Amino acid sequence: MTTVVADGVETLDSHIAFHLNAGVDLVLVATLGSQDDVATILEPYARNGRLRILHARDGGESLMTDLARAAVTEHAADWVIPSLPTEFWWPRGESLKDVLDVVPQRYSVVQALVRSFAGGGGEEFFADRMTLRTSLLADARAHDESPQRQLRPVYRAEQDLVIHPDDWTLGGRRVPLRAWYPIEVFHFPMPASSIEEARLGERVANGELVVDTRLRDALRELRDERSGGFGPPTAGEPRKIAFRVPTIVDDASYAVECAAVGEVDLVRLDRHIRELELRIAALEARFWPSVRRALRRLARRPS
Amino acid sequence: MKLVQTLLVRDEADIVDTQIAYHLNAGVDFVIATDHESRDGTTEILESYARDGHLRRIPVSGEMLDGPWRSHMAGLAATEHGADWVINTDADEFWISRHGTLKDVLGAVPDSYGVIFALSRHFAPRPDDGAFFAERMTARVSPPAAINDPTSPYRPHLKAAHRADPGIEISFGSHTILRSKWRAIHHWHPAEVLHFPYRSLRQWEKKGVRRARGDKPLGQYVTALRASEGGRGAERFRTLAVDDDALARGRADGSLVVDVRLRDALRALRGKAPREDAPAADRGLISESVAVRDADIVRLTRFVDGLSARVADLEARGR
Repeated sequence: MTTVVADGVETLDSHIAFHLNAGVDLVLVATLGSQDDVATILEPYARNGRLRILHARDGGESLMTDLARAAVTEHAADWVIPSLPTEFWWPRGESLKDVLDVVPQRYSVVQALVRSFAGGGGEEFFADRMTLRTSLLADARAHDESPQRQLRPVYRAEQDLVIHPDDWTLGGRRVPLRAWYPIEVFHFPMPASSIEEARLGERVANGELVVDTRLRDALRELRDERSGGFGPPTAGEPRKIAFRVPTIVDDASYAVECAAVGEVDLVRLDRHIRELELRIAALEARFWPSVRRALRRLARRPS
Repeated sequence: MKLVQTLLVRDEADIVDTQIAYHLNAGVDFVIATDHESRDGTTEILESYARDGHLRRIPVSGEMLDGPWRSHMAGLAATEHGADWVINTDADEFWISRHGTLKDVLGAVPDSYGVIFALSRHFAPRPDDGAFFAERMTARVSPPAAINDPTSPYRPHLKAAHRADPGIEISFGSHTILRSKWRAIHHWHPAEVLHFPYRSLRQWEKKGVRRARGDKPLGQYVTALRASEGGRGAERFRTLAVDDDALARGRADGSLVVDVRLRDALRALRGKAPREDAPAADRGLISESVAVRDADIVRLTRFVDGLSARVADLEARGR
């Protein structure tokens, strides 16, 4: 997993501890600037060998690509999750590895469905106070939103991996797994706006928000009661979080949400095929002149 | 009309006898079975039907050649067994017509068409109390939208039946017809296939391990293999099986339906009368018919994605 940390973030410690318990082997963290509080959080994980810190001068567009390539070339990653410190990638299986391991080889991008958690005021730990999240079961607005805004990519390792936030599915050589999202991304935007807080009751009543305590409960398992912090897992220790494998009843409900993302339909497919046709036409236009040139060269050679 | 059934089978002794007996009583006149290295008693069951003149067994070995073997059987049905129609089956599938008998619905297909598709209806495993699978497995999956998880055993799909055609080419799993002289009816499903892919822990592990290591490493089989190798088979199978709580939840939200049609048909075959309180109306048929169409669009989109990636590769080489 790769993460860029720009400033002190309330979620950072739990973010790293959670993912190391969810199947992530190593976290590569790029720090922007030199905040003492960030270093204090990261160093125990780095000493434990489960985290590597890279100091970045700026957060340019290539930073995520650099981190992903380092994960592949220097740490032999099979999959790379480019994450934010405010995100928690929740596997719909026994672990992140469990769900990624069985993805058919032809897919090089797996997409995760974003669940934005709302609310957030108060002194309590964020996961204790933020237990309302968006649901696509009732949220008709989802159909108006770009599918990519509701999804986040995980990349199968490749040497020349390029991470670009606007293009992980179309046009490139990568084949995305569409229309099914075996990972959910719990996103905790911080701080929540006061307007949003004022509308929470209304959004719960109309089904836009639902109660989801999965992360809260998982972090309670991980959190040290005395210090209130987290910290790296001990070598050989069994994972503290037991992720529940969804039943067919869970999957049936989730299928409705996946469909609501609206990533695949006949209109999009039609557009995709027409774009492909244009690209093939451009290739054909390049191909025959080069064949003719090659034939002319051959004809000019002395026999 | 002569109706011939093709069957591709490997180590399905717990169900194959029932499957053949059911179809021979449901209008099938003759069975052609390709037996791929069975070692669990399946071969002996097939041979017993062959001795009675109901079945032709074709032993095969080596690499699994699913589509070619199915195509070969369908060709033989036309050339050597005088078939008018052919249904293509697996050992865990039971064809049932929506109106009348299988011969009735196939006989109603207009002369200008020769391929139809039956809608697969998947049944979930239930806790194994030792009872016969059809007595236990009456929970049918009826999701309101297509489950497009490539690792799920419950993805919507269709199964092909066709008029006799010596040169027909059938796809892997007989979900579609690759080449035929007959026109296909795509949007009318006059029959269903009641599908029982996983019936017990032992059968799930055995099938998953064999297929993941060999002929078809689908995600669902790899999951079984990993769980089995890690000694977590029973634990993982429990998440696949529908217990009473999950059944109650599923029935409440409509994702599971109690469907006793096969159970009662088999009881009738064994001379036992069906229970009086049997099946509910099939309200999921329309949504599942839509779901299978949506799933086909997803499959096509994923295929086009693959083509797009290949074009991108050519574009990159040409720069």
